[in-house]
Amino acid sequence: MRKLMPGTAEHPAGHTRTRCALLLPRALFVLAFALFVLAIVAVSIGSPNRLTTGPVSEAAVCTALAVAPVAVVGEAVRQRRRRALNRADTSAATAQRVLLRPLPGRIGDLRLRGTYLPARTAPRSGGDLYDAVRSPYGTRLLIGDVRAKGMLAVEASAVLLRAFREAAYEEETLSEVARRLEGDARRHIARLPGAETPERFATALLVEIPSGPVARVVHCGHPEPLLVRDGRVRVCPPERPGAPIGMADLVGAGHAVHTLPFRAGERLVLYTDGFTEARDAAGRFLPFAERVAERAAAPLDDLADGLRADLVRHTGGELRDDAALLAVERVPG
Amino acid sequence: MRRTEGEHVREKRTARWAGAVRPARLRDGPWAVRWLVAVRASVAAALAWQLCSSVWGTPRPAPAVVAALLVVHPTVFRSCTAGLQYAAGCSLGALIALPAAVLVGPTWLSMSAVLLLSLLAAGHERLGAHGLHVPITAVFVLLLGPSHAREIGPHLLQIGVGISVAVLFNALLPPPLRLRAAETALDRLRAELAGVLDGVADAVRKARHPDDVLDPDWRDRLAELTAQARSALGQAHESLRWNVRAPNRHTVWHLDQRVLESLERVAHDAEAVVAALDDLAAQRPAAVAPDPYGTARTDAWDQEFRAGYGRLLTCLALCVRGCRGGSPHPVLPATRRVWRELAERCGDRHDSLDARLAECRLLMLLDRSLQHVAGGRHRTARAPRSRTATAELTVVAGETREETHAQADARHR
Repeated sequence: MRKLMPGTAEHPAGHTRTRCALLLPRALFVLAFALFVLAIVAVSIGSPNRLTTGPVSEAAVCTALAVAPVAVVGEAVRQRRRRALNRADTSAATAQRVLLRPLPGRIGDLRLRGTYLPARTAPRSGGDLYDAVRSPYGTRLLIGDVRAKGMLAVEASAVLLRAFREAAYEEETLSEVARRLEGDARRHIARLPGAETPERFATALLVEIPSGPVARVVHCGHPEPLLVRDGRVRVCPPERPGAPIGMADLVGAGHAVHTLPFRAGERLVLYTDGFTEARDAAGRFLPFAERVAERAAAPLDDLADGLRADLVRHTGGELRDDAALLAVERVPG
Repeated sequence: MRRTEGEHVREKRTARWAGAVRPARLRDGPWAVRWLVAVRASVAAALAWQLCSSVWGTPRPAPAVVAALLVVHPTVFRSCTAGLQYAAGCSLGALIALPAAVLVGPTWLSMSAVLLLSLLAAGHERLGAHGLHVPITAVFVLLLGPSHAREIGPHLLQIGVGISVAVLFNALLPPPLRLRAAETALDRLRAELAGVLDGVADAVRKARHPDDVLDPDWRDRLAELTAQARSALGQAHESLRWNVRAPNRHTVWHLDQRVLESLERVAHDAEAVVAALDDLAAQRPAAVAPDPYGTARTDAWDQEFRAGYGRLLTCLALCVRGCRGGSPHPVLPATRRVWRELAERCGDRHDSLDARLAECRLLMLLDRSLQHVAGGRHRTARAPRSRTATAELTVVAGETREETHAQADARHR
């Protein structure tokens, strides 16, 4: 079992610390305000001993006695709702982890490493997915992000993964795989219950790595892959970007295959927007491409673990969106 | 089952009442701020009164009450600023009038000089609306004079107490952060603008005028929602300043002023698109008003252009819904690709000059809107063709200019 680093998103001590940090200032404010009012009342009465006498003091005591239980009950209800939301979010994150089956460490001449981090601070867990399938046409990879929340996102992810696992074996071309995903998305994802997401779609990146020194990519509204070659990182934007899965008919743009050179010793880093959209406390985005460049020479496992640690460090463990990463390396020989 | 008109009206009325008493609406509405300020100001004024009357034995400490009422504001920042401005205004007025009151007394000459100086000081921008207290205090100090010097000190002291109580009250019991109201206002603007764009797209596809599809007052409503969003966003950012609750809420990136600016620009472009559609309709009247026998002379290119443009407007509406700062909507790269393909087809046409100009104007407006919603974080590879779509449009514009010159030459000859 992998050891968790202190201060990571999964560390339970961080959660308790955050709760204490939130409650302490609130308690101090209430105390300070009560002291302020009491001081004024005491001064106006003339003597602190007479606090409990007189009509003004009686009114103040009655008000305090009435307000205090209401405030306590209100806070308890809020805490209970927050706990229920956290439980639902944790369930969704767990389900998503179960859904993402562990990647094989090696397929043919390819080495693979995937990582997934669920969101922490908002009910946005679930939705990021990745998979790798060895097909007769080469190794096919999928990384995607379903635009939905909670269990709805998990269900949509399951639909897409199932469709990909079937189509990757059966379809000859990558654009046909994308077309199959599109059809399944239209049939199933758009009809899932729940009204919190008006637009039902998923961004995805499909990659096919045949035995030759190339990689074929189909973009479906997903962040561009990074190609690591000789310690340098190159962003590979698409020439003909495709629509997100589930929106091809609306946009009227079909899925086009984009071919990249991918030789032995080179790496492809596929990721979801959880990595590029992560912000620190000052609002700065994580410079993801720079981080990849810094770790370009590291072994593949260290690259993935390091990028994961960078993300957690940059956000202070408060991930607002899921993040998934899939790193592939073509091994020489 | 079809509903009757009465049922429809009843349903609308119920919905309106339900909307009026919805908790979120009560919490984010203008009445929430009014209640908050009224309650806080009343309590602060009562505390200031009680403090002055018990400590200094003042029977009616009206200056303290007035100061407390004037200094309580919906945000900590504004409350502190108002307190400082009020104190500075009163102090300046007293300082200006005191030498004249002691040396000369209340004569027409001293009054004129004091008023001139105090009004000049009142105009300083740092004093804001509380600059008015400079001449008022100065006049009072001058009129009361040295004979009432004993009253001036306590009067100013009471003002100080009122200001201190109000500022302390707002600092110790910080007002709520007005973030949710701003989020709601921006959401409303996004939804309205996206609805307008969807409506225009529908009108383009059906070759109808957008005003026939949309509500007649859509422009006013957009302007009103924009103004509301701007005000709510300003309040939200102000409520974060000097508020001790702010450090707990550091996730306010979506309340960026640039998001609102982008939405405003797209709203302006939507109005320009509607105007440009009029030009296109003027060039192709048959497409807009088919003949009564249903055998309209259908222009295949016009239909293709309208279908493509309507699709692009729908995608722009999606991008507007997703315009929240950060990365643009994932549909944007594909939309730009479709835009480029349509622009290339448009550039290859050899239609009438005015019709092509109208189409180019529509495409350029859409391109500008797509740039606004991209937020500067969009990246696409160079198109395989050497001539990009924008270049195509420029070339088209250039060609049309050449054609215009050629036609003008021919007419001249």
